[in-house]
Amino acid sequence: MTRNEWLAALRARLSALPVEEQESALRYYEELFDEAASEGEALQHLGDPARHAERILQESGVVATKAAEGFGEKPKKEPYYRSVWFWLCLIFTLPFTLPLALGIGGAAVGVACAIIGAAVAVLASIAAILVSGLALCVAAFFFLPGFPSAFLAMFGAGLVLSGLGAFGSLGIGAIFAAIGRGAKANKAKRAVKAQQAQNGRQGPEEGTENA
Amino acid sequence: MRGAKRRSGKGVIFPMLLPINASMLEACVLSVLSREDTYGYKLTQALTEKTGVSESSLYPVLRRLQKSGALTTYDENFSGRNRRYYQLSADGRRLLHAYRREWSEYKRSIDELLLGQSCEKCQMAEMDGGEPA
Repeated sequence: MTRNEWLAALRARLSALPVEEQESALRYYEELFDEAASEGEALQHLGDPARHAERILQESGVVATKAAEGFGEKPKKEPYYRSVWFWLCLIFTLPFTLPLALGIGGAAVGVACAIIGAAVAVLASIAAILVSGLALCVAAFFFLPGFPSAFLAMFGAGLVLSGLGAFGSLGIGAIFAAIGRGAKANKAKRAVKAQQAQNGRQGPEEGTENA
Repeated sequence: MRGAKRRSGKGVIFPMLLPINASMLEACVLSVLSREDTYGYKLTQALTEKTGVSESSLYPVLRRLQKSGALTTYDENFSGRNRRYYQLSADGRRLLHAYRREWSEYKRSIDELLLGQSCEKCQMAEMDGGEPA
């Protein structure tokens, strides 16, 4: 390959660029040839004109750089609910999917109600035990003047019930606290994840290839 | 960075584990030009030798800096033909200043991480305004 062939090869590969850009690049490389000790030395140093052309095209944005391909925005996939096919399929399968959806929905509502009901029942019974225990303690004093033994029995039973109720309340409190902490931790985790996703999207900007 | 080579001070070529990136190359170009206006061949020689970048990396950087107004060009006659000289503009000087400031911060943190020392010599040298010992 001679100097002229090299430059012609470079120009051919830059044909997608505006003439001004081609001229500027050619001018630069012609000068490198002019300054080099010999044509052979310049050719040896420069190597394949295709590689030079590729870098120039990358810089001008004609060819996507490898870095941009790797880290840039991925082509967005259309969400499934936008497609006509999704809606057609949905309509034609309605006789089957509608009862199924209703069944699953009903079951979910039922389970949710059961859980809420059970929780309310536990709360109510703990409250009842606590209140009745305290009431027994108070009521025991009516028997204190005539029946000290009955007072002792009732007061004792009242203390036992109050104690049970207090324990139960502590347990419920602990459960609520745990749920609260869990929700908070979840929220924090989501925030961290969102931040990471953002950072990832920004990514490294630009890689140079020195090969 | 397959096959990228960097020449050490003694002219020994060794494979490059830490290749220079586009911004750093840009900073180096600006820095070389801040000393004196230079033409393409000399600039290419100076940078390929020191940084190990391939010759194909230089022109795009020069063109980019030129378009962003960081450097301007002028032609000067040299033994019957024109040499295109590259010259730093005021914008280019500001950019170089920003690059230098960031580099010294960056270098210090990486030294600390990589060499496991707070690199006191470097800091002292910086205060004296000289090269690190």
